[in-house]
Amino acid sequence: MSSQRCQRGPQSAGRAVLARLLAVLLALALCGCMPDPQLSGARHFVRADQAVLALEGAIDADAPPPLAGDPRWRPVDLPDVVSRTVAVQGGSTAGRSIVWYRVTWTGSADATAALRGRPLGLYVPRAIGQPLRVWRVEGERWLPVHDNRPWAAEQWNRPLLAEVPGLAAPAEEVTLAVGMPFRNDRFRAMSSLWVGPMADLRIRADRRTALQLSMPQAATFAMVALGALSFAVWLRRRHERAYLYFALTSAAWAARNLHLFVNIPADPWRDWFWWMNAASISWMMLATYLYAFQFDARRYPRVERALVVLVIGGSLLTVPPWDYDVLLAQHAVNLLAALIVTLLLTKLAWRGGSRELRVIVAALWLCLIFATHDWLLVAMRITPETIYLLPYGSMLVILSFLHAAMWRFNGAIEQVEATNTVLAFKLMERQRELELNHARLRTVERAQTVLIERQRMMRDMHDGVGSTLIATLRAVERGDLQTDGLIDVLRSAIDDLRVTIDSLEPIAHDLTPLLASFRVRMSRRLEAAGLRLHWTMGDLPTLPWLDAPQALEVLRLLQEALANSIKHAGARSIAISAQGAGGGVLVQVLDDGAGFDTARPEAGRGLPNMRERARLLGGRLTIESSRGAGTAVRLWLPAQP
Amino acid sequence: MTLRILVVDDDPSLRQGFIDAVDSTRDMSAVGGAATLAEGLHLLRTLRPDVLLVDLGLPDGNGIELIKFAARHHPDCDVMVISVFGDEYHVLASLVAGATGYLLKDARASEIVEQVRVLRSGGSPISAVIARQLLLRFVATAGGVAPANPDGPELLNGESSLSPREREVLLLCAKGYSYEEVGPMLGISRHTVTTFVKRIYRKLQVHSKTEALYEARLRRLIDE
Repeated sequence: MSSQRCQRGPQSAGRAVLARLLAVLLALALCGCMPDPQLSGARHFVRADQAVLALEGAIDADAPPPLAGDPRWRPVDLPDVVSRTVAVQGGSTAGRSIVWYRVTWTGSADATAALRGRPLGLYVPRAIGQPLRVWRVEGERWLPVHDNRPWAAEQWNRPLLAEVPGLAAPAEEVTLAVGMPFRNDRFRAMSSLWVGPMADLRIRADRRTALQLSMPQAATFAMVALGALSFAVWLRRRHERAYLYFALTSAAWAARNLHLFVNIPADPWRDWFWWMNAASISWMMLATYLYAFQFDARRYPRVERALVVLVIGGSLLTVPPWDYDVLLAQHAVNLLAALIVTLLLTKLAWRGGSRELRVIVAALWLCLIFATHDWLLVAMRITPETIYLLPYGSMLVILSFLHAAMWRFNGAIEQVEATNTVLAFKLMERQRELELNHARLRTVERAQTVLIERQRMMRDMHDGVGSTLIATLRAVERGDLQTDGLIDVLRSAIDDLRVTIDSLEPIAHDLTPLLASFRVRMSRRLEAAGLRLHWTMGDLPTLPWLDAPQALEVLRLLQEALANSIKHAGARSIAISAQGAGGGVLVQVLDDGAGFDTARPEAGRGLPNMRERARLLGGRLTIESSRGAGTAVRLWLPAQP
Repeated sequence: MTLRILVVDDDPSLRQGFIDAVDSTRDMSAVGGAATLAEGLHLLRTLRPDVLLVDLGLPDGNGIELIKFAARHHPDCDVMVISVFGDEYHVLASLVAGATGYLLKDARASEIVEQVRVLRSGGSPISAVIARQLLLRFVATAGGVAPANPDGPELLNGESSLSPREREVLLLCAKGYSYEEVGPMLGISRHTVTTFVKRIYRKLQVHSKTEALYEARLRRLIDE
């Protein structure tokens, strides 16, 4: 998982949740030990009469307890814990004995009245030893009330609640005896006892059952579910070992808490089951620490290896048949190792560890405290009335995992968002660049267009108006030109310019207005030359390729044809026509002049010029003429180039 | 009765050329010559000429202003714009402003007198390019956008749209046929053709206003 740190976000919220959970756990732990003042009628016995008998000869576990006057009854404080092997009077250390606890309940007057008709019972929060027997006094005799053998395997962690039959009401005094057989070489413990109305006792017993069994069960379920999820994630992301270690942690935890769900198997598997139960604590520890180490950028392979060796070694050393002291020693070693590793992790978290690591370390410390508590409970160093706390540690580990996963998820989303922002920004930048490039290209293109257009106009001016004007200027300077001639030359120069202007008019690829303008421009010269003009204009198809440059070529070509008719042919009339023909436009200039030999055209007629223009236009130019039969100039222009 | 003519052109020799051409006749006289827009406006108001010849490029403003002024305040005054090339852009703008004819700067004295006379008798010259532009302008509004608006056809009918005959005249002119050719083709006199053209110019003026009005209304409709 990522150890990337992020400064904003619900960090304080996470802490608040942890703090609240801790408070709830502490409250639960406390109320498990504290009597509820609201319950009435039930009496809590912290003192009892005790009698210990060796189970030998005629005396067996199913025999009734000693009678009331028996001298073996002695007062004892509850809870009564014997963690060391004791010599039982009249018995060997290898044999079995039974310990009896006797209490007498006396209902107060009003309470008794209220309790009239309601059954009484006995509640034993915890008894560590062999299955309990409960008897009661009926007159001078003991009568059996309850035999806990069917629940023998779960007795160590399941509260005992037994109803005393036939003693409902209006009993004013009840004397009960609880017997617990034990092996002389084994530890035993008996918590304080409760006697009273079943209704009251059931509430206490249920609460304790919930704390000792139901809630750890629920936590284990949640842990296993998360572990499965984590394992699925790890299968797809093999390089993120934290997911694997969390899955292993949850598996070990499930193994540890298995006794909460299943019936303890019979021999010969019973010992192995308890072996697994004990060893799984160290497996759990190993997996949890390996998981925690994943949250630091640094790696501690030696520590991790040492932990593995310790756990495997501990598990092997405690294989059945085991000794209780070995088990305790194993747990003590585990605790010590856990303490050392947790200290190391604390140091890492303290010095620039990730937020996830800090939360995990906090959870680990709490687990450590719980484990110590449980170890003391198992070792009979503290009252057997408290509950096992380590199952609650699983909740903390779950929480730390969820916290880490949440940050991981958050971080991933933020990263995606940041990436998106960067991408969007980059895209914008690229777009701007493209636009700039485009604008630059357009500028260059425009400059190029202007340049080409200027070159075209220059060429036209140079060949046409320019050279005419210069020639005229020379003639005037020499005094060769009279006013009339000068006027003619200047008029033709102006006509040239007008043709140029006309070629620039927007004509939308239509030859019609171009030719029409040309007619108007030329009519004065034709009139001056005494020529009659026949004008015929059909409906012409548009020529998509016809723009200003092509328009000028067409006009110049026709201008030259017309000039030939005026200057050389000596024609009287001229016919200009245009019509659609052969998928294009046919323009004809016919005169009735002298004509010429097309095989040998005189110089100055500019025929090559006209052919060149026609070629540039992609059109066809035919010139038909013979001496005395006039001239026909035909220009065909295609609709498609 | 003598035609009173005002010439507004900043080129002294050209101005004088026009004045001389007019003064050479018996039935016309130049009542004034102006070189600037301000002077032209002043003379237009004080002299109230029958015909105004005006150049567009004046040193203190655009001749279009003078044309607009004459069209608004002296509707009896015929306006001819003086153009170097008779190009579409300048002539069309002048026609929209209210001119009904145009003169080329290099026209001969006889041509000038002839054109003024035609104009005064109700006719107008036209070029193929202008004819084509007019066709496009009238058709675009009448056939394209107008039917979408119920007020459109009403506005464009009559005063501001073309009659079939006018359309025919424009079509032939756009093909480059001269007035002398168009008349016989339509079975009317040359003079009638020129009066058609002048009427079209007047309509263009109205049409342009209608167009502007219509466009404004359309915009307002869209804005609302």
